[in-house]
Amino acid sequence: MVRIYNTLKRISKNVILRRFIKSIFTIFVVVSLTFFIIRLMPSNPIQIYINQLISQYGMTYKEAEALAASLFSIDLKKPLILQYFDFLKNLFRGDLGISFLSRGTKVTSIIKEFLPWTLFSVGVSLLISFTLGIIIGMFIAYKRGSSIDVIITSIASILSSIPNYLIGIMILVFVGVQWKLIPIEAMRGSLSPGVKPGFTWTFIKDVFFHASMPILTYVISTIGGWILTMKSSTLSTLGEDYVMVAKARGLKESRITFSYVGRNAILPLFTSLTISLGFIVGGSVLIESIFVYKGIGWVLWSSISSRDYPVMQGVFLIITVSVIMANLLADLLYSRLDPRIRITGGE
Amino acid sequence: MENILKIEDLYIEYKARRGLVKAVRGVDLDLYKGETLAVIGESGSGKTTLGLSIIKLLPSSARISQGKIWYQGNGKKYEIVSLDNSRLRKFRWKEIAMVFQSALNAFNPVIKIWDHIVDTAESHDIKMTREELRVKVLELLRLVQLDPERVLKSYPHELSGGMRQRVLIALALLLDPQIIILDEPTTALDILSQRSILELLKKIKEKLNLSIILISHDLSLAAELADRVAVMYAGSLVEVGSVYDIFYKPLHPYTMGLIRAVPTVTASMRELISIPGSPPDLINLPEGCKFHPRCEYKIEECLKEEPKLIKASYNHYTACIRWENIRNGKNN
Repeated sequence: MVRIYNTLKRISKNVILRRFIKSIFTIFVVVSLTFFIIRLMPSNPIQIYINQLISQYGMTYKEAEALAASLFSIDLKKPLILQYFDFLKNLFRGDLGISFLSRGTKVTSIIKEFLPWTLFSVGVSLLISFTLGIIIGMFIAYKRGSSIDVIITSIASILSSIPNYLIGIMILVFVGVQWKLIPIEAMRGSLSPGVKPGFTWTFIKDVFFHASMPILTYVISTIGGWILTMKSSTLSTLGEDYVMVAKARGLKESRITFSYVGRNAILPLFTSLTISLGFIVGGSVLIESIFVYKGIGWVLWSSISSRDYPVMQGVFLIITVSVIMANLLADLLYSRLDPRIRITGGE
Repeated sequence: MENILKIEDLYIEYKARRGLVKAVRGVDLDLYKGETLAVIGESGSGKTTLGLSIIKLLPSSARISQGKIWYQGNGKKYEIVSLDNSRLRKFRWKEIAMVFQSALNAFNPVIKIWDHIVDTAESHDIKMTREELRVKVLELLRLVQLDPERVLKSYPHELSGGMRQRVLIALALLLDPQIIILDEPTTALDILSQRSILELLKKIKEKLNLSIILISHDLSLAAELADRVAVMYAGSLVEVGSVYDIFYKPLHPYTMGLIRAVPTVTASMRELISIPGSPPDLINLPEGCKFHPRCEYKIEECLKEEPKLIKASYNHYTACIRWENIRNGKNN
């Protein structure tokens, strides 16, 4: 008993370990809640499949029900709590179950197939958007009050207030359909048929070709926010005493800009960046559906519409894990970047 | 005596929504080599603006509308107001260093003290190896009575306010400047740290042949440290003289008011008298002498024209037309 108590005490003193355990617990709670909530959604996979069979093939309800029941190995009549324990048992073994609709396909292999596309498109856009955002934001902070500041600030405020799906729809409708500036149909999917993955120019070109519109949409919809936050952060840093003292010390302008202003101005943005990293995985259900970009968001969208519980559950799980882990990472890394914040025993 | 700094007819204005704030108006001032000159006055009298203008580090809303500042040291002669940015950068800290009142925030929070030292040295292309630089810094930090090894490894937030002020003073001495401007060096500190900074400044003054401009509203600090005192009111100098003349034989009603408003330990207990009224609005200044609305000596003539500094005795100047009455203790 004493030994267990001492071990627990040691664990509770190690902050990183404690945060980690807390995160695991949060993941468990979220996953459990999701399990019940998605089963509270109206209708169920069998019902939706039956309706599909009836409307598509003109079957009678009886025929459709018989067909559906034989196809699905799931027992929805089993008490919910027992289903939940089954689910947990499998989860601990790393088994996320089998998709209801794409029969026999493991949820893990669905995720493995679709996740990289989302990671790629959202990751690249985050990189572009963040880098451009902080450069432009800092630039207009230095040019405060000039006409270029007024113009960029207004554009950034407008962009940051438009939801990304509206931007996506506008690109699709105007650039793609009305003006026909881009071959919108050929851009569907995440890869053209017949292109072999590999480190070849054709492959890389094709990947960017298909991801270009989602990336453009993400960048347009997020860059305004980065610009505005970086601008205000830079402005408040420029007013700090140490910047004035640095000028009095006769430091080189470049040194002041990067190590004194930039380094400090970027600190508050760093937390948002790490949290955005967590959301890379979730991608955007709406953007991927609008451009039929086959990433994890698109999988989530189609699994929701067919109530494919295991797939939904699996996608929600990885989104949850990555968001929570990103938050953990933000906490741990922030103390590395800002010496004033040191993680100590107390909270 | 040889003057190292000469301020000539300096005017500085701030742009504000209500109009132009005339922060410095027609200041003429000399700083002699090796002396300590205190500039004293109330908050808002323009003394910090004057200090900043000497290294041309005014905020963007400020403008030097007239005047010249001559610097002569290290065998070089400059006019500071007309220096371009790159020469100004090399001039700052190398020739004139400034210790700010807000030493608490004077250091970049994300880099260590040693990196501040290196930054400063590198920006001025100091011909020293890292090791030589280190030796010099250790000596300076010992001079300001700090534990050098520990301080160099610290981040700014790991040091107390008094320690940071000492580090800033040591940093100011790094490039062997000819002049150090101390802007309220003790204001942000508790009374014990104030005392030890004062002792430290005295020691530095004796040890190094520096010219010091001390900007302060703390009369006791000025009295202990300064050789000469310049009293500033509403952007102008109203009295300039030796520290003895200013504190024992003041010839301007404002200086007298300032001294009466401060408690002393040595003098017998007497009532503290504050100066009636409040400092003037620097946008709409009164006609004539700017002090007349608060002055017990005013006569009709004071409302007509603003008096210039008048020589009252050797090295003692006052901007009061009634200085003779003040000297003779008569008010009629």
